[in-house]
Amino acid sequence: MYSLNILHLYPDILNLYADRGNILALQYCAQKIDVSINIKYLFIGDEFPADIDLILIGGGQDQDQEHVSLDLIRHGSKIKSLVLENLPVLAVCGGYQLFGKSYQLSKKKILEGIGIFDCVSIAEPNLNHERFIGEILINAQNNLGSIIGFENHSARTYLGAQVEPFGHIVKGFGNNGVDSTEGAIFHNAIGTYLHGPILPRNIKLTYFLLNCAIKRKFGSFVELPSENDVIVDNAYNYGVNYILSK
Amino acid sequence: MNLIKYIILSKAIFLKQLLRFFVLGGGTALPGLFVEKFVPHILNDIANNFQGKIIVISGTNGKTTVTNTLVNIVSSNGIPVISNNAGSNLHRGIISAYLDALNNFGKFVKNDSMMILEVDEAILASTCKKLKPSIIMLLNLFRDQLDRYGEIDTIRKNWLKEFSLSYYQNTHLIVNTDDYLLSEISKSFSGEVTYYGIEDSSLENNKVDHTIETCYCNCGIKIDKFARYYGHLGKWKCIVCDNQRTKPQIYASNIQQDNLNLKFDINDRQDQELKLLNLGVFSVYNYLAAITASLFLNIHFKQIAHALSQEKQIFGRQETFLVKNKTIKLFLVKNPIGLNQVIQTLNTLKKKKLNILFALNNQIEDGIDVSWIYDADIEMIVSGLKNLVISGDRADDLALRFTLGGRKEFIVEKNLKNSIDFIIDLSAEDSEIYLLLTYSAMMKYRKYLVKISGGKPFWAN
Ligand SMILES: [Zn+2]
Repeated sequence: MYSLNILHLYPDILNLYADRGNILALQYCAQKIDVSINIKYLFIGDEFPADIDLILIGGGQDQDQEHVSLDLIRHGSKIKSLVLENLPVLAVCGGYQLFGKSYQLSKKKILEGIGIFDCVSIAEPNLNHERFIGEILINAQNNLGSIIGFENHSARTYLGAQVEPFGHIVKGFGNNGVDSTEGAIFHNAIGTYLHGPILPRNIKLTYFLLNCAIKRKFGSFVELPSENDVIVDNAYNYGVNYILSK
Repeated sequence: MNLIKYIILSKAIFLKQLLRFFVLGGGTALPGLFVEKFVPHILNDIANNFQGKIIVISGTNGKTTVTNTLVNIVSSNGIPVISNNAGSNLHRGIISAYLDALNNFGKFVKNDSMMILEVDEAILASTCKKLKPSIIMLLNLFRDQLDRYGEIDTIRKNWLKEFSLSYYQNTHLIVNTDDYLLSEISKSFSGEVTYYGIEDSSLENNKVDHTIETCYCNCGIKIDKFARYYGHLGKWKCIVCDNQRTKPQIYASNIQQDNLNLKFDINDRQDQELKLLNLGVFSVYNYLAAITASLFLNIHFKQIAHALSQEKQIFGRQETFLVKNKTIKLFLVKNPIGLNQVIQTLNTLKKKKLNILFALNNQIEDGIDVSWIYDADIEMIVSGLKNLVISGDRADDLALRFTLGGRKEFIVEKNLKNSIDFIIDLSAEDSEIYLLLTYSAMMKYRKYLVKISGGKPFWAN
């Protein structure tokens, strides 16, 4: 039986948008493909553990991100080298911003990111800024097709030349509400504003991340379950139709 | 009052009566919406014209319950009360309550009345600025409908900014001392502050909720190692500096509950024991807030206890109906901590396995984002379930949540009547059924249950 180690970064602080659901989805899918997974946690001050196969990071309030950013910098080069070796990452919302180059909280305050993604995020770009809130549907890279979620962010993210968007907007706002991009993808690292949580609502993305980790560790992909999962499909199909009908 | 305002007011009063006549239970905020549109300064008018005390109640969880409980205590002591006590807590609901208190000539029916208002967190600061209440009650801050409010820190900062003004030096603040997120507000409040809280070591080792608010002390340290009652509420203390919870003047201790009643003492006095209807630690806080305010209003403890013993059911909050010899109890669930508290409360009813109908909607009033169901500890209820019916607009998402939480046996039925029929038919004779409902689901299910059980609509009480 294949076994994977999943590392959840700062679960006690970056826990704002129910991203715990992503862990549940990984556990659920791993069981279906007969892979055992072991969840590890990294807290502020901890050493970076060895033998990690997949990294997850969620979002928090601005204040929480400030507390995390200084600690995360310590692990930046380690994470970067793992990503270059095709380690899969899912960085959601605040985690996505900190995996970019920088997050500007205000005129005076800029949080340094670890630069996995060539992008910068800026809070409150002008006085009349609004939050981007609502259901979102994107057409995602890597043949993932329609990916659904819920976005809730005041920051705008702008991608540089060294990174691809995770997807293009069909409904919703995405990175900045202007260029119709959503998230970022670099090797197998995905940054996104989609919570909802994203993995239960898009089981194909859950399998994609698991399979990236399996390929990297064991050399080949595993076969995905062939039978329909009615409960999973119902929630996904309802979501797609609901968002498209809005 | 000038002539135009008078005409608009009398029209609104007429409209309100018309609506009451035609719309059962619904539409309590509509006349207020009408007036708000035409008289933008009506809140200032309330402040200027109203002679009695104004009490304003806010916080994420428990507003409606605390408001109703306090209204019951105060009015049973002979003081007429004006209140928006059907959960209509935006400006228009407040104005509707005010209209209620006027006669058809726009004058107060009773001059010696007290106004007790529940106010939505997002408009609390602006409402207090206009109404200048004599008492402000802050219950708690939890993550709620993030899609509506943004981040809870935004609300906290907004409150802090408003309530640190010297403008409130003649206002009295009643605050939950166990909530760290309210502590800076109480410390910088310029008027008098009364603290309430729980002092019960038997609750301190409760299972910690999975998702709790992160609290940082002003010295930069995370406040997390302390005895918690639930969520982030408890006897908080910074491990570095001397910042810590203020000892409450009014506190609940010796808390016990069985399937029917909740019991606790006030300030460790056995002659101040209370036996109450609503279950759960969250209910202790709700009662405690109302009791603290009543004591401050110089209502004697015996009178408070007497009023609480005559407790009426509160709209959609643990309200009970009897249908086909089965007891159906409603729980409003609207955010993770609230749902966790309901789950914890149901788990203490160890008598039988549970029959549950859970309806998840995502209308504006429910919060359009349903991801909060993943923040709640659904896993904690799975083993105690007998029958589960899943309903509501977002039933498919909820079914997936239960599946990932380890429960695979359930019925998904989006039709309201069918879903009720299912849970009633599945449940054994003489058994109890619990309905977990988001706000808009609660309104619909309650209306239907009133109809089939022969109960009375709320405002007729
Ligand atoms: Zn401190």
